Amino acid sequence: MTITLQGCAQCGARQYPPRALCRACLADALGPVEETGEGRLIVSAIVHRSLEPGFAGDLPLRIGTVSLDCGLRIIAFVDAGLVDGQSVCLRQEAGRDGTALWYAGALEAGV
Amino acid sequence: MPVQPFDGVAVVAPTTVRYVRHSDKPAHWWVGRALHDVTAAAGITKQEVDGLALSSFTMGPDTTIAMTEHFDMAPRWIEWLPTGGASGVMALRRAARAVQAGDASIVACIGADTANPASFAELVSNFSHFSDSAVRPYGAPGPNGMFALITAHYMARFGATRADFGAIATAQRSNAAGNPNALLGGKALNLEQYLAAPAIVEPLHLFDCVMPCAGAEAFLVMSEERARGLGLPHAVIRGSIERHNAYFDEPVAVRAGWAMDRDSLYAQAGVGPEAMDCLEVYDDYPVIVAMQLEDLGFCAKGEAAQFLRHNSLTIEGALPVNTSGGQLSCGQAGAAGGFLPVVEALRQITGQTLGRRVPGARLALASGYGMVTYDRCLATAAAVLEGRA
Ligand SMILES: [Zn+2]
Repeated sequence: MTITLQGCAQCGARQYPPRALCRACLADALGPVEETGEGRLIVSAIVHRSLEPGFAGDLPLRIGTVSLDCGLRIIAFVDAGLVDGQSVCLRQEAGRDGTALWYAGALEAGV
Repeated sequence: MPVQPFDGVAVVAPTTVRYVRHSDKPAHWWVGRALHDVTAAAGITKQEVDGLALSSFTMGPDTTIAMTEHFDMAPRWIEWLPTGGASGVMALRRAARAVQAGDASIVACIGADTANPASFAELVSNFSHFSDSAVRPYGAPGPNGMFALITAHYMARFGATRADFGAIATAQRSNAAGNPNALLGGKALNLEQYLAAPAIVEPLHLFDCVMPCAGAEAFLVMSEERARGLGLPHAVIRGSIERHNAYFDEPVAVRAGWAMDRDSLYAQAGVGPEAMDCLEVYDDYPVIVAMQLEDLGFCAKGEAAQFLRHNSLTIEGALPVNTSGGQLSCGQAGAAGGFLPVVEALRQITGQTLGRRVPGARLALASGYGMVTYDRCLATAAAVLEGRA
């Protein structure tokens, strides 16, 4: 499964969260690039209290830091059953308001 | 070029405007009260203040310049420090250089914030572009979410336990007893209570998290000559460091900028960490206290838990840390929390404490850490201060 990230056509750097210019070479040459969503779930935490009442009905929520093989780190929701340290695959799904959010899931067998 | 020494500069008049849980007054009131109190403490008028350095999260859209008009001042030097937990040490450093250069003769350094039920959520939801787009959609955990990840990672990597972090929280609560400004100072906290507290963002529980409040902290920077002329107990700056966005490639923060610069800090000071009579560090979460113990050289990386099992951080202990109770016991008065380490260090080494004093304290290290724009704080700063009667 591939994911779309912001990449620099001049130096090849990838970045997340998105920036206005390339974080590495400062070139104005950014565009979407396909990357494998594979990486490692470095650590996770369980949100029991949210700052926004709108999330109250969803709690508890599990979030984590995924370190992608391409070197970036992304905060994502974490699927049930994953353990910290294991290989995962990131995917994007529409959240409640329709915006695309990151989810970390198990690496598919055979991939 | 080596770091120029901070010779000839005095830090005086540690000032705290009593914290309250909620305030319907604007941040401007807290800034103004701090200015009133800090000048009164030094026996000067506000007209003699010709430099003004401010930090606040809730003063928007105003900054330092608007405060000059608000309070009929005409300073010849101003500074605005939107750097939260690092803003106190950063204000100190900038004010000291301004005094050395003759750009100002007396600088008032103030961190102040108001607090009401809406202000904190509002602040967090508009804190940075990155956190708004890449953290908030994930349950809006606020800083608790990012520091839960840092804490969980630290625990797994170095074998620290919740009880180790509990040792920090309970020691600081013990230190808060006797400090009338500590909002939680009257509430004893033992390890059983710490461990039994409700989860906020696991592994963080209630007593790992600071309680937002309103308040202000302030001090003045002037020449030593001026401080002596005014008859003020004062401190001198033996050394100081600052760093931003250190180790940005590390997937989860296990260290911060202090580790990059501590050799410079102690070289400037001419003494090492073992010489410190007390340590006043930024304590948004216990793991960050542990990180500072390591990165500032009190123990090796990953060994804070071991250190805590053998060294008490209480005022009576081997290494008194956060002798006011810190933010974990006083409350987090926004940017004033970033001034608390400097103000409490100054109180300890000049004998002007609100609560208990480390007997004979002369050397103190004050450290700041601020601005979690994505998944860690970016700003670090520290200073070694020495009291002069
Ligand atoms: Zn580039």
